[in-house]
Amino acid sequence: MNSLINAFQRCSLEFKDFDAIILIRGGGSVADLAIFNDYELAKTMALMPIPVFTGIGHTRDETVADCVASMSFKTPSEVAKFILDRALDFDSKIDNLKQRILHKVEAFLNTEISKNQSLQERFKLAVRNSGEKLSQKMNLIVSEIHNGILKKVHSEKEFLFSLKQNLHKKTNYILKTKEVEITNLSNRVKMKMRENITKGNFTIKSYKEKLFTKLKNTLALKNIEIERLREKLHLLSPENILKRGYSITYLNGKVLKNSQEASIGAKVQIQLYKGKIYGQVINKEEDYGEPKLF
Amino acid sequence: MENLSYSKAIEEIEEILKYIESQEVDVDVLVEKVKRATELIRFCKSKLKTAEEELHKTLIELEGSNLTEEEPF
Repeated sequence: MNSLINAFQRCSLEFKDFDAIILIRGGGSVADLAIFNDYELAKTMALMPIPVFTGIGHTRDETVADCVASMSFKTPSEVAKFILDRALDFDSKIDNLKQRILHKVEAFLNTEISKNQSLQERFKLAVRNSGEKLSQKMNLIVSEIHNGILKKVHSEKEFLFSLKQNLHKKTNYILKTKEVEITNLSNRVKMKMRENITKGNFTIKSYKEKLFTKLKNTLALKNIEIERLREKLHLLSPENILKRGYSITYLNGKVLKNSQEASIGAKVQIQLYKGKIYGQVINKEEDYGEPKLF
Repeated sequence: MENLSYSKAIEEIEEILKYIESQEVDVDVLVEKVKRATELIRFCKSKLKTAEEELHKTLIELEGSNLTEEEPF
């Protein structure tokens, strides 16, 4: 009896952990039902914060406990049946709710997914389109730049080529001009040198000629002098004098130059050009003035 | 005679002539002097001839060497 009340009180202390309290009895006599009519028990049961189900006995054996209980059943199996039905009901309700939630969520998700997908598709398309457009634009720009660069390079090449040609032409022109100048200079130098050499040769020749003329003249003068001397000597030579008819008279081996020196009768020798005559002085004439032949 | 110079020879000839031209000349000496002078004159003449020949030879040599130097280019 007290153990029942204690159990109820313990349950009421921890009622949050329980849904309901079941009070059942496994058969017996009517006398055994007396405790279920107790006031204290009935009060405790009535004051319980959670429902109390009873399954104590048959309908004719209804107790106070059955009366204060939230619901009373004839047998424990009926209680069990009731609870199971309730649980089943609840379960099916929850299942239904679960299904509905699932459906809702699924539908929501599906719509969201489809929305998302379409957005994604649109985004993809847009991205692809813009990418393509961008790449086309880029390609265009790149090809333009490429063309521009090629053009620039080509024009630079042409410019360089023309510069090169110009340089070549100018260099050739300068080289040719310089060559002509050098040739002219060299010709002038050659001419001048030839002129100088000719002049020098001429000078040398003239000097040579002068020298030889001088020497020849000197030699000729000497010859003339010698000739003059020879002539003089010839003229003065005794043979020449004798040849012209003159003769030399010797008196005592001495040349007789004055008739005063020879006395009458003296013997004289007369030298002729050819031969000698020996003679005697027969007569003589004396001359005191200047020697005069005739 | 061989180692006599031309000018010395000429000098001697002049002296001999001067001597001959003076009045006091012994004919024998005169003959000697004239002989000497004649020899001297011959000597001088041969010297002159040699000199002239040398001159000509030199001239010909010079002309010959000149021809080779005519064109330096």
